[in-house]
Amino acid sequence: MPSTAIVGTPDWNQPAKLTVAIALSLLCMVAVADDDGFCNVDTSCDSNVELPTATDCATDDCACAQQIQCVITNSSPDDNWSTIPTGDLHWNAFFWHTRFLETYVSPAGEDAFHAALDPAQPMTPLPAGTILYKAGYDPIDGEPGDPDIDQGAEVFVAAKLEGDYCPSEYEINGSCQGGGWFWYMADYTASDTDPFFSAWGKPDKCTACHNTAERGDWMLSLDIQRAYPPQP
Amino acid sequence: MIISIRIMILLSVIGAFSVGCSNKSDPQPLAATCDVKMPPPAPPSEFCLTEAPLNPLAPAGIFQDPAYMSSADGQRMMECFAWETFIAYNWPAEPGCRGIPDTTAQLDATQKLSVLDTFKATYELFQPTNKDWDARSIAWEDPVPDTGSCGSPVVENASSAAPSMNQIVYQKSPAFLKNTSVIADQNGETVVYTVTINQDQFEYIRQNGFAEPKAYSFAGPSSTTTKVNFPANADSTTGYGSAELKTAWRVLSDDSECDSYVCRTAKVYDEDDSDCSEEILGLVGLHIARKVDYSPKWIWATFEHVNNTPPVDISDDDDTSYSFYSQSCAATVPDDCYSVAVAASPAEADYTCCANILMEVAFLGSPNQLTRLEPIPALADMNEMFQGVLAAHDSVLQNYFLVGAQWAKPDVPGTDAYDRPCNPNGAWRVPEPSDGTACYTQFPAHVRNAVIEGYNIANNTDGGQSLTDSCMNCHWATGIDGSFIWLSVMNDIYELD
Ligand code: HEC
Repeated sequence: MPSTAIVGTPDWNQPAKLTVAIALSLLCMVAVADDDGFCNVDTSCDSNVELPTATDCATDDCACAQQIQCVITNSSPDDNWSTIPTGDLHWNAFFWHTRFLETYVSPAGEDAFHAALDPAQPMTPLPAGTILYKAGYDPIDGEPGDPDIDQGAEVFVAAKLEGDYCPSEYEINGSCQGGGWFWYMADYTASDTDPFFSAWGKPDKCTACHNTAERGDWMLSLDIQRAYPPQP
Repeated sequence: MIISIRIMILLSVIGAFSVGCSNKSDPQPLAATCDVKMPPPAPPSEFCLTEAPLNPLAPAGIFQDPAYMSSADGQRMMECFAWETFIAYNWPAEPGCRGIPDTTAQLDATQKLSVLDTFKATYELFQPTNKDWDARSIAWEDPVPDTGSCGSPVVENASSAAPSMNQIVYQKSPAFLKNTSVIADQNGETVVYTVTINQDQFEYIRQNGFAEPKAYSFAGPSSTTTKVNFPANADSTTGYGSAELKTAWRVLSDDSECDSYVCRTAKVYDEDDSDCSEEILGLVGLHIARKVDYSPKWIWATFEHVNNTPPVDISDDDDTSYSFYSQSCAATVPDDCYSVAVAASPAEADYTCCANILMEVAFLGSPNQLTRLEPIPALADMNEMFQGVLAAHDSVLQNYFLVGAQWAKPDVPGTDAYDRPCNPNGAWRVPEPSDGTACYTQFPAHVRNAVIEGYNIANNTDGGQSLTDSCMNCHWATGIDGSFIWLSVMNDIYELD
């Protein structure tokens, strides 16, 4: 679990430091299933679980979300993954997501992510194995102050799998909504129910916003970097 | 002196172009029968210091480079420009033509189709799901096609209080919220939107092949060699320069409110069930973005209806019935609104009275409580002056006001300054320029249409809310030459066959 509680007024103009984290807060926007059916988070993950391929996901998108989430759980991101770029748990002032957010990148994607932040380089899509994982929290008892990290997180994930994930119904005019990523949201906040996926695959609530960031492999932080390259 | 020269120019323009206009009295649907040429624009806007001109022709642009003006003068010039454009775009249209005002008509109490109604709906040019689409063969004058799910866009038997809009309304979600959330008025009716472009923008996209199948994506033209640069007035087909518009409408229960709203009857397309319904619509918001010389970052104006939401300093005894605000809701608002980012599930029902909160599909039909947060940036005397003249003409336009007209003020004259905003803000984390870099100030810093960008506010840790984003900030962060047109046509699709 994240250990840093951030309080204070958001600094809207603080430059790159929180760019990635906030931009990733736009990953997915809400918490109601928009896919038909229901998909539970697997709470007894096999320790050998591996990332599914895009083809697997096209066959069974719920099983795919479950597997990816198990890979994340097994890796304990808060101990083993980097936050990007240096984003500790911070306040999110925007309507998307939860009020507190923290974002991690999987080791397989870390170098590529940092390389992609350099707009002097052509944007190459992030490699298979890249998982961007955001954990979100509400304030304790709704009071100004600290995030309720004991409550359980709302989880927002974009994962790059072997082979781009783009079932044909998401292809428009030669491009794929939300790029080659598999997107999902998982809700661990309710104490009386098992965690469940509130959206998975290519939910509109993720792609409608991320479609603005095609230049940055559908990641807003990378896209902004291209619109406004860092200065010396 | 200057003013009288302008009037003379205007009169001669009107004289020249009112000759030869045909079928003026026929309220016919748009057809490719227009033999009237687009009149040249009115002279550039100055300051609207003493009078609010009601001119059927939009101003060509602005008359001076704002880099050499104080921000106060610049603001006045831009607001004058915005109002003059608003008047011209709401001017009755030349029947049978597209984008052309009927210069012999008046602004009065009658509801007539306006220039705004005749701009090109984006679906007329872009059909991203049709791989055989031939955008190059579309002509500006072509009538709105009648081949999509809704058939002819013309609503037969529309009342004179709400004439047929003659284009399909197919956008129901605010930007970024495709199918996941809507803004609803106090009756629980969903706000609907149109996006249209003027002839100069249309020709630029069409002629460059930027609407051909597979030639574009969400992020604009796929070509890596072409950099999109929409024409400003001087280098455009008609001399007006590129313009993009977004209109936002309430669904009204009947036409009884049409004495205070711009009203239209329109076919509204529902993507979920591929169905169309005929609705009476009242205009609640209008975005106008125009690219003109001296303002390469465009000028971003937004107008609202006076009954949308109360002013920031609403008084306790204000009993106006606002379309997007309820006094009783305000009285029962929970005190921890700021802690809930999105009202998503029924468990969060208590939060639907929270101001400016995003409500998910679970709350479809729940009224939004929208507030203004800051005094509107536009000059009060400018709004009063135009509203006064419009009232004297008995026009429903008197019920609209300019929220703000945002523009780029370069800190040093020249083009370098246009690369970066000096005062970035909003969700996108646009970086601040490093010391000594030329930049432009987004002026005013925050402009928000309380309905169209209703939910785009900042929730602060102290429990308060504030404005943060703006038109330019967002459109220049991830837009293409400031435009989201390609994103818009890929995210919200109306298929013509
Ligand atoms: C948070 C980002 C954001 C802000 C702030 C914003 N817009 Fe937009 N706007 C968009 C997006 C995304 C679209 C395209 C999607 C759509 O049509 O809804 C759009 C569409 C438009 C369009 C239609 C043409 C086009 O480019 O797609 C106009 C005109 C427009 N906006 C004007 C404005 C004005 C004026 C303001 C300020 C009052 C404003 N916008 C504020 C994001 C924004």
